[in-house]
This record gives sequence, C-alpha cells and structure tokens, in this order.
Amino acid sequence: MIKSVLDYLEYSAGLYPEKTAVTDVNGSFSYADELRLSKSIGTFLSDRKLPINAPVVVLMDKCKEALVSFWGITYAGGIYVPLDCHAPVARLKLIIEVCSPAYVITDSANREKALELVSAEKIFLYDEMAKTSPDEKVLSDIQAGRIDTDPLYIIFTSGSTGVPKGVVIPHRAVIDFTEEASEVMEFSENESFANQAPFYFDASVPDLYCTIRNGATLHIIPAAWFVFPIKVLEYIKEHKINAIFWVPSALIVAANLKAVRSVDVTCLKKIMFCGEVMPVKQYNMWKAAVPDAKYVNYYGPSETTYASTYYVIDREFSNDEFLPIGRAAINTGIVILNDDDGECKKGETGELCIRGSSLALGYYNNPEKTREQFVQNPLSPYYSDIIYRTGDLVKINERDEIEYVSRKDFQIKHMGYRIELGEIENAAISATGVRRTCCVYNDKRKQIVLIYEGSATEDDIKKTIEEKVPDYMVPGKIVKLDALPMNANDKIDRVLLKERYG
Amino acid sequence: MMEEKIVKALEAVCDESDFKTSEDFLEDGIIDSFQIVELVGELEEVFDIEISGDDILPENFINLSAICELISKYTED
Repeated sequence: MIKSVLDYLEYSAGLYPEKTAVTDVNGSFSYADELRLSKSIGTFLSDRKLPINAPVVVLMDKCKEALVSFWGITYAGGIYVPLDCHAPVARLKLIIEVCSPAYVITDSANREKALELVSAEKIFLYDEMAKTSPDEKVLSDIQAGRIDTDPLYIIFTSGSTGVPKGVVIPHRAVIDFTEEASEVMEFSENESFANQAPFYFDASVPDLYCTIRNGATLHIIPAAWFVFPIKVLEYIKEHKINAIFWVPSALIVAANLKAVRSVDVTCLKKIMFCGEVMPVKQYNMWKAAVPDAKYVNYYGPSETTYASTYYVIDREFSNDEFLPIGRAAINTGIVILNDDDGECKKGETGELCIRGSSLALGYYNNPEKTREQFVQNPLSPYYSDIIYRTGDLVKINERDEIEYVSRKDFQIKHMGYRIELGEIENAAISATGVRRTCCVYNDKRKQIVLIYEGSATEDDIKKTIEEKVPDYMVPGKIVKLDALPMNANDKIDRVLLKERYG
Repeated sequence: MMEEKIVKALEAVCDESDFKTSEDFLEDGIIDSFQIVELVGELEEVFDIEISGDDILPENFINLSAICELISKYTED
C-alpha cells in the first residue's frame, strides 16, 4: 500500500529510469538521478542522526536540487520546510523560532543568509551532501517505521498577530490530493507540467506530486519570467507543455499583456488554477486563445492540501459572472455552517468547513491556533470528526455548485498569496513615529494600501515594512493622514477607509 | 514632451518617483507585473496607440529611455 510520497518516486524511477523527471534553467534530472540523489541527501542526514519527524529547512530558490532536498529529508524521516530565500531575515527568524529546525540545507548563493538564521554547524551545502553514497539498508530501516500520518512538510503562511503559522501536512493528505487530481484530470506519463508557484507556497504541491506519481515531467520556470509572461508562453510552446497548475494572477497577467494572444500555446490541454478568485474576463481571454483545453477552477486553503473543491468549467460565462468553486473533491467532506454552528440551507451564506484525509495536522508548535481552526464538527458530536474552519463564506447555488462569497475576517489574497492585513499593520506600527495604522486592499488595482497617522515619512515606513515582510506583502501605496477616522466603538473605521481607498 | 507624458503615466501607476535615474525598473523593484499591465493600458490611452503583445518584453520596459523608444516606434507610424 502507498504510505509515503517516496513510493511515487520509487515507482516512477522503476518504470522510467532514463526519463527526464525535472528540468530547470540549469539542467535536468532523470528519474534515476532524482531517486539516487534523494537517497544521498537522506543518507547524509541520517549519518548526522537527524531525529525522526524533526524539521529541516530548505533555503534556496526553486530548482531541481530543492526537490531532491525535500525527498532526501523525507528519506531520513524528517519534515521538510521550504523557506523563501528572498524574505527578510527578520521574518525568517520568526519562522526559525517557531520550528527550531535540526538542520538547514542551502546552496552557496544563500549560505550567508542561512548564517544569519542558525549556527554554522547546522548548515549544509547541497553540493556537499549530494556526494554521499546512498546507504540503502539505513534508509529502508527508517522507512519501515514510517506511517502515512507522519508529517511530510511544513508550509508557513501569514499570521494576523505578525508571527507566521506553520501548516503541518502529512503524507496521507498529499497522497489523497494527488490520487484524486490524477483521476479527475486523467494524468499520465505524457504530462509535461510548467511550474509557476514557488516551493514555499502550497500552490506548487500538485506540480511536485502529480509529476512523480504519474512518471511525468516537471519544468521549473524562474519566477522573474512571469513579470513578462511572453517568455513563459514561448517556453510552453517550445517544450510542448500540456498541463499547468498556476495561480490566477499569473494567468491574469498573461491575458492582460496580450501574451496569450501573441504566442500559440494550444499545446496546453489542462489548465488548472487555485489560490484566489479567477476573474471571468481573463478566463474568457484564455478560452478564446486556447479553446480546446480543459479548464478547472480549484479551491482550497493550505490547511487542506492545495484544494478541497473543484469546478471543471462546462458552460459559457459572461464577464460579469463569477466562476463557482464547484463541488467537494473525492474523499473530501464539506460542511457549511451558519453563525449558530448549524447547517446552512441551500442558498444561505455560511462558513465553509472541510473534513477528510486532506486535513493538516494543525499548526506547528501552536496548539492554541490549532484548536481555534481545527475543531469538532458540531453536526456530529458522538465521535472524533475534525473539521477545518476556512474563514471563507460560501453558498450553494441553484445548480448545486458552491460559490465563494467573501472572507469572514481581514485576510486577503494578493498575487495568489494569502495575507493577513494585520501582519502588515503590525510591521508598520513598529516604525518610529507611527501612531495608528490600517491596511485595506484595493481589489480593482490589486494593490495593498496602508493608511497611517504619525510623524514618520512614507519612506521610513516602507523601509521598516520591507525589513519585516516579504515583497508581496509590501503595500503598493502608503497614505498619511492627520488622524485616522474612528467609528462609534472608538475603533479605526475600516469600513470608511475601505470605501475611500479600497 | 513624450518623456513627460510617459513619466506621468508611470506616476499614475507606480509609487516611486526616481524614474529618470533608474537604469533598471525591474531590478530596482519600481514596477511589478500588475503595474506593467496598468502601465500598458495607460500608455495606450495617453498616446492613442495599441501596443502589440510581442512588444511587451523586459527590454522595452526596463527604463525610461527604453519606453520612450518603444512609444516612438508606435507614434511615428
């Protein structure tokens, strides 16, 4: 039986040893290379007595060596933690405090940054590790003791108090998603995926696992290319890429910049998106350029492993309509709860809650947050039935499809990233000469707007924020007011500010 | 005249204002992919042109003089 994602890797390496498993701008690994190198990294770590289920950070840009590092850590019985090597050191330090990694795997380009996070004896360079000759006996002994509810990875997401939350995902959850997606999308060894999402972001999970599960090929596209997507589309055309799992932002930019009209990418047969709302206008631009592809709108938070519902687009949509998020994925349960924790009737708006094998094991080293979000299903009180409360408000339409309505709180989606506005407000308030702050999101311009009162200049605040949060969370616009408007409860009037600047 | 109009379009879309000195808008983090989208729309409106998708390449938007050159290509025709 399948109990580890390594079963996928070993299966594909057995069937297609010479086939290209992954390629990036610097070269390729065959399935045999990928398996051997993962075992080298695994052996290196087990030689250094990596404790079972201990987190190991991978600090490098997305590249084929990062994948091998993930699976090497998995072979050694550890949990891989991909981090954004471009994130500010202050934020990375917060993450390191939460997960206290046993080791950090990095490359020469990121070694300096790693040294700011942990002591030198905990840092290993990939190139050195990859020279280790694999010890099959040691690795198979470790794997014999592993179960499918053991953690595979931890992905950190924005936290409203300013401390990122580490979502702990077990093998079982990734296997559940990968099996389901492979069946629904009919993936085979003929698939060529073009990866868009960074590996520290859950949106890359299907790229990694749908590839190795099916003996397909993964093309890692550098993040910088997506600013001018024509280059990405030319790559897709040249390499006959036929399947993509992208965040809507990447598809939107390609549509708006007319790239999708300029380059013939009709080689694409399966176009899947998840992470934020895909506007119909840009979907229709894609549909016009690539009419024969199958388009799938996925929905789901990182806590339930990439996606929990999906909608295979099967009818025409006009630009003023919204794409539904469809139905629950196979082996995923959904419950829509009203404010009194009762079940919503059809058409009634309530919070989407998710049950099933795709659920995370909670937030690493954060039992309080875990207890808030992963709770007993109020509709079945007689045995353990845990649901994840997404904070997303939805309703069921007359076609029995789920429709996304809005958020319950101050979380936003920007460029596909999930961001708590509170985290940016907290970063801004730490600048000297700032009294009050409020962040709103301008949905039309896709811009984060920070409004503040105090003596600090816009530049001072921007610098402080840049030291604390990743680029994608830095406000696109900063507005200084003599005084922030207050509401009747003596709180900052968010509603008014959202109307004015959002 | 054209340069001024382009700077105005940049100001409408981006926060930063050192457009005249920056050699590389992308490297300096002045413009991101969404701002490129808006900038293209703004330039098309201001100059009453339609920029072809084939021209939306980094080298044509890397700095002020590159954008000037691109726009001249369209306004000369």
